[in-house]
Amino acid sequence: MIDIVVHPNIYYFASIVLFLIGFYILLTHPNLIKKVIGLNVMDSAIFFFFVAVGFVSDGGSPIVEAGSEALTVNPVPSGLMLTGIVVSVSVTAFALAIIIKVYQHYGTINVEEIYVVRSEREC
Amino acid sequence: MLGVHPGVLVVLVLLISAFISPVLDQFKFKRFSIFAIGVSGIVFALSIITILRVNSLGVEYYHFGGWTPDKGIEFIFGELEALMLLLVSGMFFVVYIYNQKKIRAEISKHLRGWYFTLAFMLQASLSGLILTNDLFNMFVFIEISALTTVALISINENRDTVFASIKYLFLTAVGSSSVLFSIGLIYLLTGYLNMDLAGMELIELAGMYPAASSMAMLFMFFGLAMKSALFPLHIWLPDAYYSAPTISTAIMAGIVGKAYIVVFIKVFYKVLSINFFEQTNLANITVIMAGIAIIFGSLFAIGQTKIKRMLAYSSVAQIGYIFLGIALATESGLTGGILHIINHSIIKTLLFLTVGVIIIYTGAENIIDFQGAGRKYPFTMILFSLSALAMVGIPPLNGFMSKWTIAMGTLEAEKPLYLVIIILSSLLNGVYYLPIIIQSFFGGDEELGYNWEFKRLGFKIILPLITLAALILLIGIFPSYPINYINRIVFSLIS
Repeated sequence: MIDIVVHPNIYYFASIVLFLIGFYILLTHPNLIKKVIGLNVMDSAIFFFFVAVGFVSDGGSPIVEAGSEALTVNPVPSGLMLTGIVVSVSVTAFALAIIIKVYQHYGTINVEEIYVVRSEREC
Repeated sequence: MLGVHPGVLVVLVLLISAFISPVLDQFKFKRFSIFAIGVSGIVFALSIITILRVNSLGVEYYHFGGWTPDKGIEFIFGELEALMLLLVSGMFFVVYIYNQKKIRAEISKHLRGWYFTLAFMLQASLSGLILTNDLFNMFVFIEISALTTVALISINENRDTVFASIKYLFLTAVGSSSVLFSIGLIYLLTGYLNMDLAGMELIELAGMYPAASSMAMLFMFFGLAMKSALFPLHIWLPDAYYSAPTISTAIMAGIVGKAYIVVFIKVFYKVLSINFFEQTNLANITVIMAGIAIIFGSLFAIGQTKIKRMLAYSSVAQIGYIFLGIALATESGLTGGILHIINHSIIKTLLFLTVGVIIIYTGAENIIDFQGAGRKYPFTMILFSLSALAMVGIPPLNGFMSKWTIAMGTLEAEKPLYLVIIILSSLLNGVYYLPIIIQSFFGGDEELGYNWEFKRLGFKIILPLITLAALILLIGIFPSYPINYINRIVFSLIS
């Protein structure tokens, strides 16, 4: 058996890499749906980050009984992320709803084509 | 009052009204404008009580659910918060009075109940944003205000609004995510979400963990600059202001961006101040960005043909002034910055409301169409001219006072280059505002006599316009009272 020892900061590093991947997708892809996916990847990275902040190695679930001194993980960041997930879901839903409307009005969900359609109409 | 601070009731009343209005809509309730005036009047009264209470009792805190500040959510009622709360509720009150039949016709009938749901929720989140002293609570309010703003832009569904709203939604979502990441880093470092406690911890920790705390600051800066439209991150603003209905534009231009700037002041002066001003060079970079914003916002405004787009780019320049004052971090600079938040809010709201009257009554969207508008609508155009001159910075109007104070700040910080930029930008402002004023009064068909429009507009549209114009004159002629008040805020922030 080989024990794989990971550096405790690997979670932070991974979440920042994931955040940047999401940001890159959001910035570079012209397709609006892919932009939404990029946004979701960014948000997930932040959720991982927060959960990693609250994680205590060998910690149990944070149900504290009177007198017990068992090590528990910090429940606050996980609790915050429940709110964060709700917010992220509502942003995603709203973005998708507007994308449907964009498709109805422009006939495409590609940003570059939308710019072409808009400039043609102005001429 | 029940042991609850009146400032907390502001958010509560607005949230409850937000959910009442669609229910009223179901019961075929017709008088939404009166309902909105009533609710925002109550809120305005509550904010006056708050500012009076802050004046007599000093800074107060309210803990939700009785939790201690290290665990629970805390609202703070200080001088900055009370002043900005008064500004936000006053502006919403004025805009709701203006929101009369003809103006409302921009929004289709079956959506009006929902429109007020969105507007009340926006106002609730902006008030909460200003009052909260908790970082995560701040994030939640930021998200509520972002979503409601997007919905207010796209309430009239057409090609322009759907495009503007998807653009704004993506950029604002990136901003919110950055803010949330920064909050995560601050929590990782300090273990607190309360602004005061986290700020106190960061004074020591910033030296021990310079990389992590600087990254927290960088993400926070990016997020808030995106939301308040500092120059290179302003790209969502012209589309959004241009395509939204008049009332939404007035709300967005006058109030929404300002609440984010207040958050910027609170976070960067209370929580991340060491990183922002001492450890990294970001404060100086912000000054440079603000200088670029002032020049380029004005230059872009000159090139516009649509009046609402021109006003939007003018906003970009004015936001540059505010950031210049804040980032200089001298006494006069910050005083001028905070005063300019108030002045720009009043002036820009009046500009958009007067332009809204012309657009709705005559259909003139292009700047060329304003030829002769001063003869058909002399009263509206006189007020437009007054606010445009205030924006240029002609004494004795209020825009002059704040620009003057920021200019003193540039000298205090020994950066005379920015004094030149301020003067140059005032000239550029004149270049795009003055031709409209001259053309509207002296251009077009010269045979036409002046035709006063008081009967056509009605009392309820004239009243808010006159109120805002009176404020422009009052702050301009008697600037000492607001400046003394803001000096107290600045003193507590800088020390």
